[in-house]
Amino acid sequence: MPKLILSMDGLVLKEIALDKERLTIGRKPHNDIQIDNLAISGEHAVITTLLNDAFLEDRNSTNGTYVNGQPVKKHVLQPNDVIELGKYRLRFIPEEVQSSGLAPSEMIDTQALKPLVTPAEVDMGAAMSRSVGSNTQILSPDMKASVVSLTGQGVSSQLGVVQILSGTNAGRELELSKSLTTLGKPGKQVAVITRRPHGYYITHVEGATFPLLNGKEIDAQAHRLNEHDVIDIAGVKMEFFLR
Amino acid sequence: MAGVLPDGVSKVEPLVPGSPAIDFGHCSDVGRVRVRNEDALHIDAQGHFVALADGMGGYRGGDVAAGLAVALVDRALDQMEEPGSLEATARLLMFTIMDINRQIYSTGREIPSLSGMGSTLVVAVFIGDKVLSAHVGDSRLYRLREGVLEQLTRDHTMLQEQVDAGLIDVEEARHMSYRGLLTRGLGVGEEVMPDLGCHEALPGDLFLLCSDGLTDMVGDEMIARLMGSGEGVQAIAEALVAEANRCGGRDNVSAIVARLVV
Repeated sequence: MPKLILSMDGLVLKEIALDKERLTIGRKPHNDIQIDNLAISGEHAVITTLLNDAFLEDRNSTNGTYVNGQPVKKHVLQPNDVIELGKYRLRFIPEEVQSSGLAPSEMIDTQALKPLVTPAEVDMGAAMSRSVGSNTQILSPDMKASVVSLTGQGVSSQLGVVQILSGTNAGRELELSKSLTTLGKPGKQVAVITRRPHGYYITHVEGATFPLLNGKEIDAQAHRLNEHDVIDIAGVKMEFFLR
Repeated sequence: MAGVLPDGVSKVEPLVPGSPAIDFGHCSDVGRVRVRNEDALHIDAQGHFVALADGMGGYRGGDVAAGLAVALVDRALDQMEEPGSLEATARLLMFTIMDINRQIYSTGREIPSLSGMGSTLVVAVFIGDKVLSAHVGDSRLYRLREGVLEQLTRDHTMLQEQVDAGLIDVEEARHMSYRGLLTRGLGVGEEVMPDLGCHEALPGDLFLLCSDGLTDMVGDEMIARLMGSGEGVQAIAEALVAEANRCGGRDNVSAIVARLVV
């Protein structure tokens, strides 16, 4: 079934299954998703789920409901749409893209722990957890099985690196050895680069405007990064390459 | 933290000419009693800093709190100018940890299923011939030099306060059953004051960051013996965890071992 991933400041807090036809979001305790923060109205929004379609509706909240930076009244949720509620983010993951059942806490740990060895030695557990949350590929049941065996081979065999091209940090390099690297400025524009067995992907996470990839705005989907791609995020240009 | 961790040693080349290179090893295990590993570790090879957090409270909350703590430390220190001065880094550590506390505290209050979540934290930053420590709670930093093990952080626990006040002696304390009562933790109150320390870090020194899952099971003499074995840092970290499990493994057990290369 579809689910939401609740995060704050780019860090995952919990997963919420859209297991009811009607899921209310708000500050008061009777809500299915309760967030006790003053930026959120008592009854803020509601998500109606029918089969695999989810509809988000603002309930005349004080601060409004935003999806990918845009205010909405009624909105059909698309894969990887991010609903903003004060400092919290809810990312919508439709059913087909869930290739493993790992919990967000396992995502945090993988994010926090930098692999210390050459990529070939990273084991399946760490490799599988990367696919949760930012995998936008639609998988049929038989494809799912092949993805599981693919992730068992470990991470991308080459190490991705971004080199900063502009600003005060120009020339600096950032090794993308973690499974999830967050780039940008929280509150302005944030993107995440995920490391998967078959390569690196960039996904927009936060911000009203989208980062640029080779001069073009990326949307909310994950985009594969290729050698010498230039990323423009929060005003800083950087180049991606593999070593 | 669930899932198997990649094993291995990361050797860090010195950023500051004349600084020692550092080898890091780590091991974290759920132990033999608990269902979930709520310890979180971070080793930042480029920035010469390491962090360890022991999460507690609520369904899955410990996981989230410990993970938040180390991720936010990483984020703050990653943005630091290199090489930093001791004073600037100490200030940054202080304010970062106070801020992390507020985030864990407020998130725990705002998200019902994370209610009551908290964590300890111990951070070590290697700068030149010094190591800066910052901690909240009872996860510890030790230094082994020429076979002598020294605990560099003082636990924020009821027990330690009683020992400091002279109410009980150190030997009695080791056998008390309520060892885990924290007087300071991340996410417990609106504000928290971390303790900061600055210690010598010379080539040949070994440092250990660990959660109480290690020190509650394994005594200092055995820790000193395992650290002084001459083995590589990864082997030492794994041996420490194995020893904790051999002695009962009643809690999650985690260790980060750092050796300043001669």
